[in-house]
Amino acid sequence: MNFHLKIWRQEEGSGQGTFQDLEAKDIPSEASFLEMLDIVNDRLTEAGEEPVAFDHDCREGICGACSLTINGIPQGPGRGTACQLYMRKFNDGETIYIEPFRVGAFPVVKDLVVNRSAYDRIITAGGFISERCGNAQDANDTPVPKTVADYAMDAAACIGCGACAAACPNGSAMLFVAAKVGHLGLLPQGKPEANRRVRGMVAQMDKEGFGNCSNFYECEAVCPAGVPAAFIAKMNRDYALASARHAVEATA
Amino acid sequence: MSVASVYRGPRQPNPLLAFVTSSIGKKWVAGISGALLILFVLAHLAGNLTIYFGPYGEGINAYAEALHASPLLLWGARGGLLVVFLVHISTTLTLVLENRRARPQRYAVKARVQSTVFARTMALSGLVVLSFLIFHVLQFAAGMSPHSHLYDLEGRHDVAAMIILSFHNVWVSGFYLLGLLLLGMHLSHGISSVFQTFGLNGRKSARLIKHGALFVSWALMLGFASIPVASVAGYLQVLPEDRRVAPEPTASAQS
Repeated sequence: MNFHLKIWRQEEGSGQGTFQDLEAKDIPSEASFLEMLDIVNDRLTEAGEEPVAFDHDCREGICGACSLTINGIPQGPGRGTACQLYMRKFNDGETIYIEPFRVGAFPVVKDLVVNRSAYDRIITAGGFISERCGNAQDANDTPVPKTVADYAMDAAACIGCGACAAACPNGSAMLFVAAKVGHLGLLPQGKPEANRRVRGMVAQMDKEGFGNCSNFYECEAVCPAGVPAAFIAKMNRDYALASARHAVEATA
Repeated sequence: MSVASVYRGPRQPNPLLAFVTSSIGKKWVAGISGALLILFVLAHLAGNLTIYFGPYGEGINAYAEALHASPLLLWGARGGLLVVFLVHISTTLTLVLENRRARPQRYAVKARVQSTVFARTMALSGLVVLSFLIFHVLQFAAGMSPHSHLYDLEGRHDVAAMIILSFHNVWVSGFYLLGLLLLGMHLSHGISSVFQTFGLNGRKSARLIKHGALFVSWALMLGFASIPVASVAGYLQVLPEDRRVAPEPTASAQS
């Protein structure tokens, strides 16, 4: 298969970039999107040109390292990450735009690579359980209803790739933060710290300069893990209740 | 033995201030003010529909007289409404400006996957509705309509005649229909957003809220739009000129 690529090229440390036109010829239809880029990069290297920088790691859809916006859709069309997207999904001879995630809080490092440490700093602000776990517990020592466990798992499926913020017209990280707040807050191990977690993580999210949620639900549509936007509603509620509780306790 | 110090989360000067200046807190402020405005729109429609009661639309004249019976209550409600409007507009415009800043560089190609056109045009539809509202208040509430000095058989301010005669001008009724269309667009995203922001939008209720919000907002708009349409179509009639009498000097003053 042949493709006409328009790839964003940006020098490291410069705030500016442009699209470069590249021809991807003789690409096998079973190649993944990242493998297609590998082939293009090999040819660039052989020709003595600078290969395209892009993020990748596990290539099996679970690490969340890929960060490509393909034809205007973060992680490409269809459910799943860019590494799980196969070239047979595209038409032969198609023009494909490849851009980095464009979010103010994710500065472009080089070409298609963005710095997503803002998400790590949000996790540091409360996205954890500080309980000492000790040894592995016996099964059913801490009872969790099956429905709650399933619901928590829906949120825990988040791989922190950043596609939600990249797809949001407002560059909002609400789905990511809501997934972390939701999955930890639903389970007995995470409940004791739920209030300070949601307040801390939302405060850090605001500090990082992410936008506000306008209920577009573009995040939900592109999320490779299928985290539902209902978790954003849950976080809106949790945050208000935690703030109210904090306000009362601050006066006590 | 030392007492273990309890970590109480990040230090914040004033909890209430921290809440209303946070991203989610601002959404709550926009949501609460929006919900109050939705309730006002519902009450406004219920009041408007009284024009269909009684001959020559005099149901709305009686309704208007009842509204004006207590100036303190009326001006209190108007003042409260103005505050709610100002809070809603200033908060949402702040959110819009922050959202612009959060994405300094736009995509060259951007596909919309599932966001609605109503959601994406909230700021635009809101501002057009605002301009419509200013016209509407000046025309009917402030009495700048040329038909705002008529009185009905019982000496009441003839609100029905003011409305119906104004709508006989197709430019006025056309502008009303446009304003209502944009209000319908604004509400069809606004009503469901209120549920989402208040955290009432669960996985099970999401579909019901989405479709219920669409139904309610467009039903509201049809209710409002029926009045200009019925005026132009001649279904709503005004008191004939020859039966109209000059108001008594002591007749209730129109405000």
